Amino acid sequence: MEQDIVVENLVKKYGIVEAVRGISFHVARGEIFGFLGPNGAGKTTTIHILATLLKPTSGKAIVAGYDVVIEPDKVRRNIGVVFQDPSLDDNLTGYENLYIHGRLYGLNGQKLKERIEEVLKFVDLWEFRYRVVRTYSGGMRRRLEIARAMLHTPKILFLDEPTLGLDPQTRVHIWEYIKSLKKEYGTTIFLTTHYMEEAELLCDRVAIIDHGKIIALGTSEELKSMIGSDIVYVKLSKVDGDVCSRIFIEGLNGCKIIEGNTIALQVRKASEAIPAILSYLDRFEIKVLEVSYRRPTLNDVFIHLTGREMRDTEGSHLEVARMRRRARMR
Amino acid sequence: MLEHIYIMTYRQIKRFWRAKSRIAGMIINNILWLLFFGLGWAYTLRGPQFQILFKGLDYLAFLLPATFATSIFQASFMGGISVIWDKQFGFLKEVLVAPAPRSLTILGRALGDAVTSIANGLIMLALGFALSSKLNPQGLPIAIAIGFVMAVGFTSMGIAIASTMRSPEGFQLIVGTITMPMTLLSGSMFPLNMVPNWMQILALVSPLTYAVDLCRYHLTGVSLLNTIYPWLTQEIEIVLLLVTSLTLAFIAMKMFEKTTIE
Repeated sequence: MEQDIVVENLVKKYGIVEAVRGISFHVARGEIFGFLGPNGAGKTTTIHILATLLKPTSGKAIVAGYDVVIEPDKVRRNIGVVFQDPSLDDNLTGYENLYIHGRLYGLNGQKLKERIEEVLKFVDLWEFRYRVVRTYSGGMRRRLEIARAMLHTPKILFLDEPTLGLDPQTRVHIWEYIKSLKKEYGTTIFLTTHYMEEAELLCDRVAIIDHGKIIALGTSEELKSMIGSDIVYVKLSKVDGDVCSRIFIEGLNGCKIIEGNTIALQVRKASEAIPAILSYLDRFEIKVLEVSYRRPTLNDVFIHLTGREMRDTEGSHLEVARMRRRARMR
Repeated sequence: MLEHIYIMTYRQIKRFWRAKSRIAGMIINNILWLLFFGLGWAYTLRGPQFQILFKGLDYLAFLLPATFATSIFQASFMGGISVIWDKQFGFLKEVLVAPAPRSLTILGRALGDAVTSIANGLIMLALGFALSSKLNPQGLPIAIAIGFVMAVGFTSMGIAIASTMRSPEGFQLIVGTITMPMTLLSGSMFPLNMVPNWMQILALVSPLTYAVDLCRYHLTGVSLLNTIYPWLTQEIEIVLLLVTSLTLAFIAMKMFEKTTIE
């Protein structure tokens, strides 16, 4: 499979602070790849290096087939970037923002007009195109930035915390747009986030990053299976003592009766185990009232790997920023 | 190539045009300054002995063309602040990540700001024509050309300084400490004939002095610098101004290429 992003041993130091400490990964064409990690883990630094805005201290990054240090211009032509902080011109209209972007990327005339109409309609901002961006809401701005990043039909789209600071409803909307980007245009997408559900929902593969290092990489299924079992709860009409001994399925790690006619089964993969469990119970003519299961979340994975919650590390972001500033002043 | 220059020029002008309150503020400022400073001194310095001092001009005719130049200077130098706003509001990243060469986008930006500074100068000059009948409208096109060359130079200087700075306050501080002495030394408000030697030397270092003298020459026919230094002809002044502006533009392009986000 063709690789759109190849990163090998990438390192970025700010003075004595190592923001990125030797990361390596590949992103295949058409894939949605996510960097999941707490603030200050090195996600934005990585995106800035891949988008040619920062030079790496050492290591290699190939984006769209070009080295980001040797041929930044060719990389820039092939990527679209939505930054974490807004980067629109507030005093211009939505249309003008896109127009300037298009001209900077070498589009013009009728082709540019058509593209602007297409991307604005894609993010449902066509009717607001003549409004000055200052009057846009947070969600509208983010959509406009996505539209702008897509205007020159880049092969690869970088999204740095695409739903940061948006309300839950708007967040779901942005997710829809991102998913349809992949479906309709086959764009390769690299995104960073510190929201578990965003990584789980959107990404084909996720790299968990902490303190500038990738500590786990895989599909979210693979990551979650790292910490073992799902738990399936089955509520029965009546429970006799040996119900557990009647169920034999692959990957069963334990079965016990808990309160209220319910049995809890530890299985490797709930989605495969549930049909088997049900068919066993059916064979013994035990009536099933309710089935539910709990899966480990990516947060459980993060806790398993680092021993702390992703949310509790907000402070470290400030810490790094402060250390960076100090390092620069020297 | 022209494409990238053009689009940034377009953006700067569009932004200028959209900020109607800023334009209104500019006009009011100009009117107040001309009325109270210009007319005040014009009435004070009436009489034949002053005509000799101003080489046959009255004070208003002496002041107005120079004000055209200094107002372009101030507006264009201040234009660099938009680079800092763009840093703060993030638009700079959009420009930096685009495949368009940075040197060209910054050149386009300098041209755009130069055009808007000229607009500022022309508002000033329109008031000037209303106040004095001694200005020669035929000199206007060449005065505008001179203003443009100067504006490109000083916007570039503003951009070069702004590229290295983080806060608008710091930039304003620098602008204040540079524009004030340069405006006073340019010979715009008083002739340089009588000032001490060291001050004349400082004045000759500043390109604004040439721009002021050239604008005055083309709008009134009198060059005061030429009467002090006979070797300083119009041609030499124009060459000096052109060289400075091109150098400043080049420096701005080089400095902006190195700009990174952090």
